[in-house]
Amino acid sequence: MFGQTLYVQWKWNRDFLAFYTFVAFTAPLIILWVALPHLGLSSARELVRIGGVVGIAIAVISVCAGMTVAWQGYGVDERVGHMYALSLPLTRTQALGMRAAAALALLSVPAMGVWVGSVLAAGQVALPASLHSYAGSLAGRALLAAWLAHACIFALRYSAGRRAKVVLFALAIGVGSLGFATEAVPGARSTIVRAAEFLISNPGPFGVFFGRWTLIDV
Amino acid sequence: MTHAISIDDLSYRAGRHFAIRDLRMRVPNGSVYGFLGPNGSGKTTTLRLLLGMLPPGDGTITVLGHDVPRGAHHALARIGYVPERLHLYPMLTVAETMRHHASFYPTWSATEAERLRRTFDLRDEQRVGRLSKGEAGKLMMLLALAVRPELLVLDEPTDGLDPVVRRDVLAALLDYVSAYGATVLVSSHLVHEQERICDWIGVMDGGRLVAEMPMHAFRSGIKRLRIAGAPPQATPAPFGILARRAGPGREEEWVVRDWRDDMMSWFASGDASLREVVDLDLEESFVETLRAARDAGGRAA
Repeated sequence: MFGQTLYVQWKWNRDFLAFYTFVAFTAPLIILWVALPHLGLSSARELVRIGGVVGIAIAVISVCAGMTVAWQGYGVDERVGHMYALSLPLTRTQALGMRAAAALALLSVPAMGVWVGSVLAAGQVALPASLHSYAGSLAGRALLAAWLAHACIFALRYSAGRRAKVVLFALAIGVGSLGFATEAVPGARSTIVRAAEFLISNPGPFGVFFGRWTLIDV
Repeated sequence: MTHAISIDDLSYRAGRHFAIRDLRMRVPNGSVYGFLGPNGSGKTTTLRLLLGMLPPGDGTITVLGHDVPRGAHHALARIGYVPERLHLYPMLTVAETMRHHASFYPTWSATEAERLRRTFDLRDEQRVGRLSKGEAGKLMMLLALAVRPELLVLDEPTDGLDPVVRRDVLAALLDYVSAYGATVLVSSHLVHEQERICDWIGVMDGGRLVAEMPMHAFRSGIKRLRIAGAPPQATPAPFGILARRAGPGREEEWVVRDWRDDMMSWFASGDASLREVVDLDLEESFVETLRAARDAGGRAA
């Protein structure tokens, strides 16, 4: 069952996966090749900065890959009115679990591209003793970020259109209210900032998006 | 008699203008149940409700002993479903679609699937998205039959197919039913096709089941009577009066159901005289049933 679900998703998404894998593989190499001629002999600070640029590029690519695979994965069912998926003898939980696992497996392909590209890119520079390359953790972070982005878009698209609008509207109202509260309610700012920090810092639910994305660091 | 499908007091609303109301339906085990009704009468919605694809507003649905929608996945494992339109993934080939489908059904018969593929003249490498309407219909029927289901739910399975493909699809269906004794619920507005294959009939109109009876009762029990000196409307009759229309002179034309020949004596007891009993074919019976239901609905409103 899972193998076939994975196969269907692979066949439907493979062009996009190939594109993102290629981009994820080449991005670190290109950024370093462009930057290398401009580096000083021992510019550790420059190397860290370039490692950060690679990290940001990989973050953007990963999130885009996750969102695209989720959008596409929904599209194959939407195109046939969801009738086939609904007629299979599965609980909704089983079906969603298989989709999530298939997404993790598929998104590991661009993550592999990140890892290989990053290893090769880091091998192009002689790192000072104080710096290290983090190709493995960058690839792992890319996979998690892509999967989380996939989950968000997948959940939103699989809600009925009306429900998705309600969720988006509620989010907009919520964010707007918080913005207003930070200005209008005394003492609210620090509470809201703490809550936001919890959401976007590790081990918060969206920490993977906002943590330190870098290929080269101390 | 046990029932493959039991529906009680089912209600469902879709938008402002369409609703299924207080639906009660029984599909006997081993029957071929024809689900008739005009377009938009609620047949497809009812089928989707009993497969757990839509959540009912109210009422209970039991399919093969499982409560739906809660236990729909148990029921679906024993059901072959053919929807009215192609519902398969368009980028897969025929062979890939069969492999994919097989992986979800432990009862899948690879031998039967291969036999049907040859019978239907489908090629393994054909992409589903490029199949003709007839080929798509045959592939959906293949998938439904190869899982060796106890219940087949078919939504307009031959609609839009040419006569040759229609004959192939119906032949495969009837072969399967005669071999395995499966129950079939087949929705259609093709009355003559239903007449050939069904032994029970349910007529749906405006979200209500307006008639449900064995096919022989539907076929032979609905008559058009020509009566002179008809009694007033209030007189209780041993048969159901679907419609009364004025005829020439003092004559009236009645359309009745549950008619038996021994009921002629009922007319002899009064002033009325029965001039003629006319057999209706299934299509006329269907139309008269619908007309009567709509008249009754109009009067109630």
